Amino acid sequence: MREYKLVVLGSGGVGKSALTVQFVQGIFVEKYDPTIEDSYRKQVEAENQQCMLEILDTAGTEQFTAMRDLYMKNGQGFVLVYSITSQASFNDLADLREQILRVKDTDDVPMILVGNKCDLEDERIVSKEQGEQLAKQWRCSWMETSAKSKINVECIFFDLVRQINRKTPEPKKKRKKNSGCNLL
Amino acid sequence: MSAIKHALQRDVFTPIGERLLGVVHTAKASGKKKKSSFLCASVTIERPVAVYISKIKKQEKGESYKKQKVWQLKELKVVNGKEDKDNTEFDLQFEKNFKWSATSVAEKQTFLSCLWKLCHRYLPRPQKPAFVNVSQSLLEVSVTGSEDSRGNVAAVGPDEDALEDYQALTEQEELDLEKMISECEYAISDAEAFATSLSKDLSVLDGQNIHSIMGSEAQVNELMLLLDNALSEVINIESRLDEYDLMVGNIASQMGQMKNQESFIQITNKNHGRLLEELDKLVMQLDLSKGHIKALREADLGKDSGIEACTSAADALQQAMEVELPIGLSKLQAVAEQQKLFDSLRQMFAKRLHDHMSTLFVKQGSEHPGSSLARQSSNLLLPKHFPYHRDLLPFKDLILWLKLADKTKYIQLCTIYTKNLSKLYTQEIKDFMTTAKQRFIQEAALDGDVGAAALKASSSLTLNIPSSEKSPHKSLNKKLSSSIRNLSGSQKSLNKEKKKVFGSTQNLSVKAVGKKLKFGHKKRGLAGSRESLATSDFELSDRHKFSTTFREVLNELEPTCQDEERFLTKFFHLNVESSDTMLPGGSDDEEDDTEVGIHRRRKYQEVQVTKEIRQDDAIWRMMTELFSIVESQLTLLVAFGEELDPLNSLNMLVVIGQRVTQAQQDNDGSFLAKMLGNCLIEVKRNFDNFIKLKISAVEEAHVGKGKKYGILPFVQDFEDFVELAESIFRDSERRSDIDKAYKELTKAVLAAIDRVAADSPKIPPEVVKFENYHHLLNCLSSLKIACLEQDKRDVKSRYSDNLQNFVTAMLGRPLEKLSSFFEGVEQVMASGVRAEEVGFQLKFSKQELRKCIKEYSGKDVKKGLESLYHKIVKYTTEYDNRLLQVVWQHMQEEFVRQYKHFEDLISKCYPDSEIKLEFTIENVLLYFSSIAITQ
Ligand SMILES: Nc1nc2c(ncn2[C@@H]2O[C@H](COP(=O)(O)OP(=O)(O)O)[C@@H](O)[C@H]2O)c(=O)[nH]1
Ligand SMILES: [Mg+2]
Repeated sequence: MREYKLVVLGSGGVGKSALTVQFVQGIFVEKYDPTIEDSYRKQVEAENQQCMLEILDTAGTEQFTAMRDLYMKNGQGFVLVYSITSQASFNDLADLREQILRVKDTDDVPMILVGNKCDLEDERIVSKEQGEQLAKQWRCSWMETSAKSKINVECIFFDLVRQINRKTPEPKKKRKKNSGCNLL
Repeated sequence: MSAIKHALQRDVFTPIGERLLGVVHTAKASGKKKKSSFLCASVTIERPVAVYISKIKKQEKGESYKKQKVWQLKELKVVNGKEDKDNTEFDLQFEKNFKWSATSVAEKQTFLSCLWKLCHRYLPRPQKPAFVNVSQSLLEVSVTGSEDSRGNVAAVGPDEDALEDYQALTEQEELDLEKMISECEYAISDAEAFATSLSKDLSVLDGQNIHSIMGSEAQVNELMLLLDNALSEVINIESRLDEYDLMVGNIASQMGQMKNQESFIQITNKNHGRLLEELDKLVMQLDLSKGHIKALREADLGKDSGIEACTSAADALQQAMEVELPIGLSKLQAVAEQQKLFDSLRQMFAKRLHDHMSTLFVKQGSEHPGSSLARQSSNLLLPKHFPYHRDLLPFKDLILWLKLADKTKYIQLCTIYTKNLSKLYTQEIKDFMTTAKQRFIQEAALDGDVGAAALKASSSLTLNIPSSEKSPHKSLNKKLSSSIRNLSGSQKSLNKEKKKVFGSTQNLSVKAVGKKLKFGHKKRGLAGSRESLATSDFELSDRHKFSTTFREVLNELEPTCQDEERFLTKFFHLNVESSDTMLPGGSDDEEDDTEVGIHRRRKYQEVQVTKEIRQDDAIWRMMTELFSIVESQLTLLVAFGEELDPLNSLNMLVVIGQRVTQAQQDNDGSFLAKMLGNCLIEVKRNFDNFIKLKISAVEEAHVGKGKKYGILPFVQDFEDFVELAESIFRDSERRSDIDKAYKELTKAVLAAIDRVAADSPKIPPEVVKFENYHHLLNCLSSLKIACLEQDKRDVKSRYSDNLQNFVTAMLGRPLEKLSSFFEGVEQVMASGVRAEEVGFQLKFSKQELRKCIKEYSGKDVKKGLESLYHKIVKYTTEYDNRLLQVVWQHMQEEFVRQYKHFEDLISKCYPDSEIKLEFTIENVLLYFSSIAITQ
C-alpha cells in the first residue's frame, strides 16, 4: 500500500486540527486546544487504490518554526489552511509557501489552498475571489471547507493524493514492470 | 397796509390789466354801521391810459375781494378834504357826493395826495377836479419835489419810478424842462446859444467830473504804489520760500542717503553679528575641551571616573562630529583640521575602547567556574551573571558611541563578547546539566533502591542528603531517618566514594537505573495488585520529583537567558529601532477591559495569527551564538529524561508545555521561548512514541501457558499508567494530548482483553473478560476521566454481559430434568393448550411431574452447588474474592429465578395438586450462603 505524507499548515486557530480530526475520525472538535504536533494515520481508497495517509497536524504558532524545515522536507503534500474569518491567517500563508518551496527546492509541490470555516458566512472577511486569485497565482488548487458542517473535508485530502499521484506515479509498480521486462 | 395793497393788486387789478396806485381803507361815514371797504385808484397798463377809482369790499368769508363800484377819474368833480386836524373823513363828489371815512389820517392824506397827482398827470386842466379843504402842503409836496435836481427825479415816488421809461415826461420833468427853458428863454430863439450853453454846461460838468477823477488819481496812484509794494513783497517772499524749499530738498535727499547708508550699516552689522554667531557656534560645536581630549587619550577605563569622563568626552566628540556644517564650511582649513583631529581621536579612542572591552570580555569568559562546581554540585544553580553585567554596564553609553562611531569595531566587539562569554556559558550550562542529571539519577536510584538492602538505602540516602534537606518528601525522610542516625558516622566517607563512582560511571548508572526502573514496572505489572498499588503510590511522588527537578532546571535557565538577553539589548543597544515589537503583548493586557481589547482577545484566541515575532536579527544571532549550548543541552536533557524513564516524557510535556503556553500568552519572542518551543515538539514526539509503544505492547501482549489469567498485566499497567498520567496532567494545558492517548490506549486494551480471553485454553473467556472489565471499570470510576466516560459505559455493559453469560453458562440448568419438563409444558401451552388442561396430557401428568421432582432432593442440590462453587473458584483468581462473591450472588439469583419459574408454572398448571419441590427457597438461600462461608 502506498503511503502519503501530508502536512497541514496554517496560523493557529484556523481549524487545521478540526479538519484533520473530522477527516480521520469523523468528529468535529469544538474546543480549541493549541496543537504541538499530532500525526494521524488513515487508510482510504483513492483513485481505485488503497492508500495509507499519514497526516501531520502542526502548530500554528511561531514558537515552533525551527522544526518546520524538517517536516516540510518529509512531507509530500501540503494543506495550507486559512480561516475565511481572518485576513491575517490568509496573509500568513505566503511565508509558509515560500518556506515550503525553499525547503523542497522546487516550484512544483503538491499543495492545496483551503479556506476553512465557510459555515461562518456572516463573519466572512476573506472573499472567495481572494482565495481563487491567490490559488491562481500559486498555480495550486483551492477549496473552501467547513470542518463543522463537513463541507469539502474529504475532497482536500483526496485532491492532494491525486496531485501526488500525478506528480510522482507510484514508483514500486514501475520497478516491478521494469524488472519483469528485464527478465523476459 | 402794503400787504393789503399787494393782495388787491394780485387779486383784483392784475387780472384786469390795471395797476393799483393808491388805496385807502374806508368806512362809509353815513350809516351808523361802519361798512369796511377799500377805495382804490388804478391805471390801465394798456394805452390809452385810463384812471379808475373803485370801491372794493372784502368778502365776509374767505379772502376774496369784490369790486362794488367803479368810477372814471374824469368823473371826479370835487375832492373835499374836510381839512381839520385829526379828521379822517373826506368826500368825493362824482355824479353825487360820497362820504368816506379813512381808518387813519395818514392814509387819507396819502390817498388824497395820490389822487391829486393822478389828476395832475392824466387830466387836462379843464377837467381837473377841485381840491377843497385839502392842506396846501399835501398838494405842494410833490410840486416842490419836482423842482429838485435831475438826480432826484427818480426819487419822485416809488410809484412813479415803477412806471415805464416809455412814459411821458413827468410833471416835474416837465416843470424842470419848462424852468430850464424859461431860464434860457433864448433857447428857442437861439438854439446855437443854447447848445453852446449846454455844451458849456456839459464841459463844466465834464471838467468837474475829470477834476474829481483827477482828484482820486493820486489816491489811485497811491493805491497802485501800495499794490506794487505788496507785489514785490510777495515776490520776495516767494523767492525766499523757493530758497527754503531748495534747502529742504537738499536735506531730504541727504536724509535719504543717510537712511540708505544706515541700513547698509545695519545689514553689515547684522551680518557681522551672524558671522560671529556662526563662528561662535562653529567653534563651540567643533570645540572639544582639553579635558575631553585628554580623557579620550588617556583616561583610565578601569576606573569609574575614567569611564565617566570618557563617556562625556565621547558624547562631546560625537556631537562635534555630527555637527551638520553648511556646505563649503568644511572647506575652511581650521574646520578641516579640527575634523581631522576628531577623526583621529575617534579612531584612537575606538581602538582603545575596543581593546579595553575585549580584554574585559576575555577575562570574563575565561573565568572558570570550576571552583564553584563542587559547591553547587548538589544545589541546582546556575551562576548568576549579574556581577559581570554590573561590571560591564557602565560602558553601555560608550558602546553606543562605538556603535555610531565605528561600526566595524562595534561588530568586532560583539563577536568577541559572544565568543568569550559563550565559552563561559557553555561551561556553566554543561556543569549545570551534569548536576541536574546527577540529581535525576539520585532520585531515580533512591526510588529504585528504596525497598532493597539497608546499605544501598544508606548510600543513596547519603547522596541525597543535600537535596533532602529541602525536599518536600517528609515521609521519606521519616522512614529513613533512623538509618540516617545509624549511619551518620560513615556518611562522609561514603559520600566521597559514591561521588567518585558517580563521576566515572555516570552513563552506565543512568542506563542501569533506567533498566531497573523498567524492569520494576514489568515486575510490578505481573505481581499482585495490592503490592503494585503500593509501589505506584510511591512512584507518583517520584514522578513529581522529576517534574520538580525539571522545573528547577528551567527556572534556572530562564532568568539566565533572559538576563543575558536583556543585558545584550541594553549593553549593545540592539533593539533601538525595534523596541515596538514588544508593545502588542503589553498593551493587550492593559486594554483588557475595553471593548476593543475583548474583541481582540477573542480574535486572538480564535485565530492565533502566526505573528512573526520579528526578532531583531542582531540579538537573535548573538543569543544563538552565546547559548548554542542551551539547545543541544536541552535536547540532551530531554533525551536523558526519556532514557531514564520513558514516562518522563509526560512530565516534560507538561512542564515545557506550560512554559511555552505562558510564553505565547506573553507574546514572548525571547530566545529561550523559541528553544523551548522546539524542545516541546521533541518531547511531544517522544510522548507520541511512548504511547505508540505502549499501544503496540498492549496489542502484542499474550499470557504464557499454564499461567493463571486473573487481571491481565497490561490492564494493570494501563491502570498504573492512567493513574500516574492523571497525577501529572491534571489541570495541565496539554490535557488534550493525554486524552487522545487515553482513548487510543483504552481502545487497544479492550481489544486486547477480548483477544487474550479468546485464546485462553482452560479458563472460560467470560471469566477473563469480566474480571478484567471489572477491574477497568473500577479504575475508570475512581479516576473520573471525562473523555473516557463513553468508554466507561462500554466497559460496564461488557462487564455485566460477560458476567451474566458466565453465570448462565456455569449454572446452566442445575435441575435439568425439571427444566426440560417445564420447557415441554411451556411448548404445549404455546401451542394453545390451556394451563389447567396441561395436567391431563400423558406426558405432563402429575405423576410424571412428581417423578421428576423426586430426582432432586435437597441434598443432591447442595452437592451440585458445592461442586459448581469449586469450579468457579478454580476459574476466578483469588486476587479479588469480592468478585467471586458477586459471581456466587449472581448464581444464587439465577437459581432462585429458575426455582420461582417452576413454582409459578406448577401453581398455574397443576392448581390444588399440592405438588412442591423437595426443597424450599429458604433451603436454597441457606445452601448458597453456607457454601460461601465454608469455602
Ligand atoms: N464554525 C467553525 N468553527 C471551526 C471550524 N473549524 C474549526 N473551528 C473552530 O475553530 C477553533 C480552532 O480550531 P483548531 O482546529 O483547533 O485550529 P488549529 O489551531 O488550526 O488546529 C476551534 O474552536 C474549532 O471548533 C469550522 O469549519 N467552522
Ligand atoms: Mg491545532
